Amino acid sequence: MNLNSNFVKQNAIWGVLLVEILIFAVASGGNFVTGHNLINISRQVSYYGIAAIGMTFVILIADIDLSIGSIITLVNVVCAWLMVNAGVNMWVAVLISLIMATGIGLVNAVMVAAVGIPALIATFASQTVFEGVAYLISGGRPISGFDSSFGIFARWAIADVVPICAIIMVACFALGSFILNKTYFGRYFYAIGGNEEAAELSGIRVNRVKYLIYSLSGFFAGLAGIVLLSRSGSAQSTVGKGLEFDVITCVVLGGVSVYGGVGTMSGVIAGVLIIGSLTNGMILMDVSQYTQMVVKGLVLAIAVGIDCMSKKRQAS
Amino acid sequence: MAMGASKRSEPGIPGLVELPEGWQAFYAELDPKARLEMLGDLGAGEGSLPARLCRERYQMRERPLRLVDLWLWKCVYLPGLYRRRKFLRKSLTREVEGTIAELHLGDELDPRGRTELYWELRNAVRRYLSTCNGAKYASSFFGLRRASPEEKHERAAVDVWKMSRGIARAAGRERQMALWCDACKDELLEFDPRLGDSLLALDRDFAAG
Repeated sequence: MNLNSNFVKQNAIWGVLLVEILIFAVASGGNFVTGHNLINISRQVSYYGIAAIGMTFVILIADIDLSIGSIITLVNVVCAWLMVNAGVNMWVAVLISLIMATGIGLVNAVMVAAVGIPALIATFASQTVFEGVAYLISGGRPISGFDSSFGIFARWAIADVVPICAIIMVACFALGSFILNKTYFGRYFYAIGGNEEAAELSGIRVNRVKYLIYSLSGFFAGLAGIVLLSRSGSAQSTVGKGLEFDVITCVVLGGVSVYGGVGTMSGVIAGVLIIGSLTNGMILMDVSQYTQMVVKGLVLAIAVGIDCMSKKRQAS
Repeated sequence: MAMGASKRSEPGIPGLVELPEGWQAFYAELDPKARLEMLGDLGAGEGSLPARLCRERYQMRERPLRLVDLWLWKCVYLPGLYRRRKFLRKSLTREVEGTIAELHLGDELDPRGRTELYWELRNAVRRYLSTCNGAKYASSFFGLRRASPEEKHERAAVDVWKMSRGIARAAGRERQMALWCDACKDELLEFDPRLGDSLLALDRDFAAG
């Protein structure tokens, strides 16, 4: 009996995904589980799946990064601008964009770790700043007309079945899982999230770890921006607006605690797939975008609520 | 006040002897520099067990000049490892074996040595618990909601249980880690005597799966 309840607890998130798939499969009259739609879902989830990896690291240390939506937007605009307006080679533009995204993450880290601004405020400020910068660069207009080979990151697929962006996402999850489980830094993330002061006293250079975490968050958000640009074929100044909330929902839904120090990459994968399937299912069922926002907001509230209730139960 | 009391609660563990004069203060002190200085004042030679334990605990082999606390690291790391025990079975066993070796829990020690080890272990836990009253500890919603003192103590009980009884039971090394578990429990009860019930409840929860 106990073994069974343990098994259910550990795999509840995957059970939720299965139930969700079954509901949409029935409700959409079979359209949800076609090969074409599953490939479509893997394309749709890839960019916020990639961004969720960096967010996982940040939430593990009990912080938050609200700037990833604007990093995605800025990378979109800068990469497109470099290719279209400055005539820069595609790979060089990608490299510059990723360095810039990592740099923004580092700026966030300096504000949080060195200056001591709460993460929520610091990353909200940089969200506003870099969203504004994206508007300044693009003038609020879409940037398109770059080489079709840029589609390699999202529109291309191996044997017309496995999209490159899904492979990038899987590789990023494997890297994230390796960092968390097999490196000293991964241990430091959990330790800082569990008890930052004790981690500092034990010899961990907490500020340096925070620099790394926020830089990684910036890097993964940048990579997500590249994939999104490749998928859409045009850079928009509003493309990343509100994306951070989808990403936070995926991470918290995947079992990463808002209290810090708890969570696994496999849980986050399940969270990403649940949100991806939910979005796709609602689109298939012709649910309006506003209703989708309501549903996603409720999912975030429920996920955080479950986390809080489990903490309370543990305490009592 | 629970922390910083000069008179320490005596352990109820068989085989331990009473500490000689002056050593109570040494084991109550949390600052590594002060403790290293006190060692000299207490006349502990370089080869004595307390001196060896302090060296191993505070000095990194790679950077001997930098003072760290490798036992405090165990206190920080083990609760996290416990939480991920389902995914990291091999790693859990390896880490617990390493902990047993690093904390000298498998060493053959005479009653005096065992007593010194016990109090050194308690000192590490005491240092960990001293951080549990900090502003950031047990806070939620990205540091926006601060925890109350009661919540902090409850969370400390959970963390201490995970780093001792929890991890020992999860790895099947309860016998080997008994001294560490006793040191953790005794220090936690000195920190807040009301937390005994929480430890019992955590034990029951573990047994119930």
